[in-house]
Amino acid sequence: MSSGMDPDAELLAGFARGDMTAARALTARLSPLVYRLAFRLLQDSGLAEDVTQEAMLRLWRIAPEWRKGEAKVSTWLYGVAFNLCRDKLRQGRRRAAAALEDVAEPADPAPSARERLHARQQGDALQGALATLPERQRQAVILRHIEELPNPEIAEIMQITVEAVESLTARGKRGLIKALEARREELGYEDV
Amino acid sequence: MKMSEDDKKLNALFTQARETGLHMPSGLEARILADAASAMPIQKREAPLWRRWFDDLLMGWYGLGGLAAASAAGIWLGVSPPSAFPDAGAYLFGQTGATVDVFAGDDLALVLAEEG
Repeated sequence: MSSGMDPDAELLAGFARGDMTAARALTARLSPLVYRLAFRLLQDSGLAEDVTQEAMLRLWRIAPEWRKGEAKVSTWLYGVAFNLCRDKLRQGRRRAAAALEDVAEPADPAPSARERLHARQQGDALQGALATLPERQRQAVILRHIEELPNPEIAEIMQITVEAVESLTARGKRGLIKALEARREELGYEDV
Repeated sequence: MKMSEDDKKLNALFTQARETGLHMPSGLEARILADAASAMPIQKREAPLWRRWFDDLLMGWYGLGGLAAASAAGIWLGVSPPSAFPDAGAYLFGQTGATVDVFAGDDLALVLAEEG
């Protein structure tokens, strides 16, 4: 993707030359976006904070080697944050599975992070419905419909094709409608 | 394409989610900037012209040291050349110090004989 006029790339170049003002401007522009994405994907403020700090640190470190025109800084940063979130979700699932193995009595099939997330978010119709979606669909829906990123950018972030993004978001939306329908009375969905 | 009622409701929920302010926790921005300060690439200041000339042409202090040593050696060889070395002056002018005849054209023995 061409980014001849990417203002973030200009700021990053400024930072690489030792301009701390550029770092402040980049932080103000990009870190809230990363935090918001991480929070929506993880539903955990502490984890979202860790992801934001780590993603921004990686941005500072890559600054001297950044080559203008190869990618948009924000897309690159979203991609880093996205992968960090995926790692955190995997770690969460492994921990949940390990914790269940320690329980003596036979349990129901292990509740996934998504299901536990669902339970925590009962008061929030959309979050509850999102939590019922498979992980990839949920990520695609959040990037497309809440973060409002264009499909080609989502494809770059998720490392999939644009067609796959379209398929994931379409299936995700259908899944959301179904989930919301099932909880219509509980959530007062008809009042939306 | 006509939007279904379900899509409209869903879009309303997406809009609501976007409009719900998600603010970064206090202190996060300060930590990010502290990381930026510690990761800031160390900048080399642009050297002045004389210094760039010195570095490029004379290869800096190493070059200058070598030049000084070579100059001192040259002066020393000029002042006190080792006997094994040919005399550069003689080599150039076709004479050696041992054969320079300061009374060229006069025969000292003849002069002494005439006086005697």
